[in-house]
Amino acid sequence: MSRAPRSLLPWLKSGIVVVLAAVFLYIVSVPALFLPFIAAIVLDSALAPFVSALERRDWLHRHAVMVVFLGFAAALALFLAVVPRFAAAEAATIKTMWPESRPRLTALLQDTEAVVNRWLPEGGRLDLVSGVPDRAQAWALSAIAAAPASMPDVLMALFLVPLFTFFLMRDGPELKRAIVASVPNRYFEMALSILYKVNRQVSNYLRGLLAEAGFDTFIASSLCAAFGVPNPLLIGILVGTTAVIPLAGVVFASIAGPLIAVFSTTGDPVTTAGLTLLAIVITHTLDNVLVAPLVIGHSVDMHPIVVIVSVLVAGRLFGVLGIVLAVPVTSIVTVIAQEGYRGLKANEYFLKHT
Amino acid sequence: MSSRSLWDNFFRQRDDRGDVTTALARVPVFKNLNRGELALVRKMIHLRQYQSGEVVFAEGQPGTGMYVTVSGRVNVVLNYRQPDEIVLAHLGAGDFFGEMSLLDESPRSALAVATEPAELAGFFRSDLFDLIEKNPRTGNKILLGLAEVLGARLRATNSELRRLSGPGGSPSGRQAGDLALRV
Repeated sequence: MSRAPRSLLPWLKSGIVVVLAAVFLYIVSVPALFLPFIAAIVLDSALAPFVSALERRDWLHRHAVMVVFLGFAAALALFLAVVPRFAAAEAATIKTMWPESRPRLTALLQDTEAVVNRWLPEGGRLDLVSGVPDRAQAWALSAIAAAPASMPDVLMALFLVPLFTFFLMRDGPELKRAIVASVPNRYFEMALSILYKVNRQVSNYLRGLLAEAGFDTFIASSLCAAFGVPNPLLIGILVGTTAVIPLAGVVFASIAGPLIAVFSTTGDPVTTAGLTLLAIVITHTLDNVLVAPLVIGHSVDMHPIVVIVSVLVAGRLFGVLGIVLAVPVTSIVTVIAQEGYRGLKANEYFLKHT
Repeated sequence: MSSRSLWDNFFRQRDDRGDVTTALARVPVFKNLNRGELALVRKMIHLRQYQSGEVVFAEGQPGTGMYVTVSGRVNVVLNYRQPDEIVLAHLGAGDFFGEMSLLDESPRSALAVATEPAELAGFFRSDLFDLIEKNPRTGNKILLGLAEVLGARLRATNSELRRLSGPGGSPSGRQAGDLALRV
């Protein structure tokens, strides 16, 4: 193959960088690409320890990646073959039982309203009964109606997430080296330090979050099944997925979980709601005692006030995705600010002497 | 520093594996590694080009790792460009510096500056941690090599202090030597 003339090389290099930047901006600006990209980063972090474990046994990186990826693909296929079917069956029972469960939900809300309002002043009393069942029905119907429209995105994600994950696992280390190599000498050590710390913090956090979601799903489903609560898998998935939302997730699960159970129970709604709430409380207690300190620990090392403020601001600006990504993004910004400050302080010396 | 370095570092295509691996093999920190392990380290290091007079790292800057001189020359200097400037070492191909930073992030105790166009191979704490995680045997060999280098340095320092605290040393040297030997 003939090589490009030397005079054309700068143009060629600039062109490649412009194309790469354009591709990155395009991915960021299109949610159907951006969300799978984020999911791939999470999966890459989660699968990295398995690749490392094989590399410790003298496997080549590409072989380790291939084996771990195939294992992940098999597990994903099994998951998709089993879980959605059970979850859909459980969701169908809610729809079937809605005419029966609506009066029970109204009765439960009336009882709750009466208990709560006993403690509230005259002007600030709650009105749970009027409108809530109608709003719940409207919300459920709109969600069901919107499902077919989102199917192309879901199918696209099912294709893109494994694709992005594979290439991140295989070429991630080289990509990071290329990024560091592109930094001028003066900022090289600072860039290397930032990349290493960001990678370590974010990987630990995302890995912990994924483990936490899996643990919560399993424990909440098991406890609900043991307590005889209807739709245990659906409630477990709800508790697991909302566990990735800092602070607000547990509140949302504690409200939506009992409601799902009450929708589909034939028994006493108060007892069912109480048992569901108990299962969720036990799950989150076990999570806080066992999982969070072990798998998340001090991976992001942020003050709770900073977490609250970052979640509120990100939620306000970017919605649910902002809430989920608030902690790792704030952690990244903190590392860049700390390392950048230290690096720039050191560069004062460079500027004085070079 | 010229703007060329960005492109040169990013798109560099070189056939220098032999030179770099040879330079690495001569470094005491890597002396316990076999050929395969050296090739692994060769894949992890960061090759950087420096122009004459370009500072590699400054005194007081947080340390992140060590450098091996593949080609060119580097000076290690205290009080750079000050009236009381002291050149601690003139380093050439195969020499290494900054190895203390593989252990902690303490500030660099001196400045390193290229005195002619130089190519340096950087091996950093993040690379070492990565290696310890993925290939503990190789990581441990490097740590052992590092411990041997630091041990040799400590022995040399003790010997120098003993010499200073001896009958031929200056009063302040004797005082410093006595103090260090008591520690």
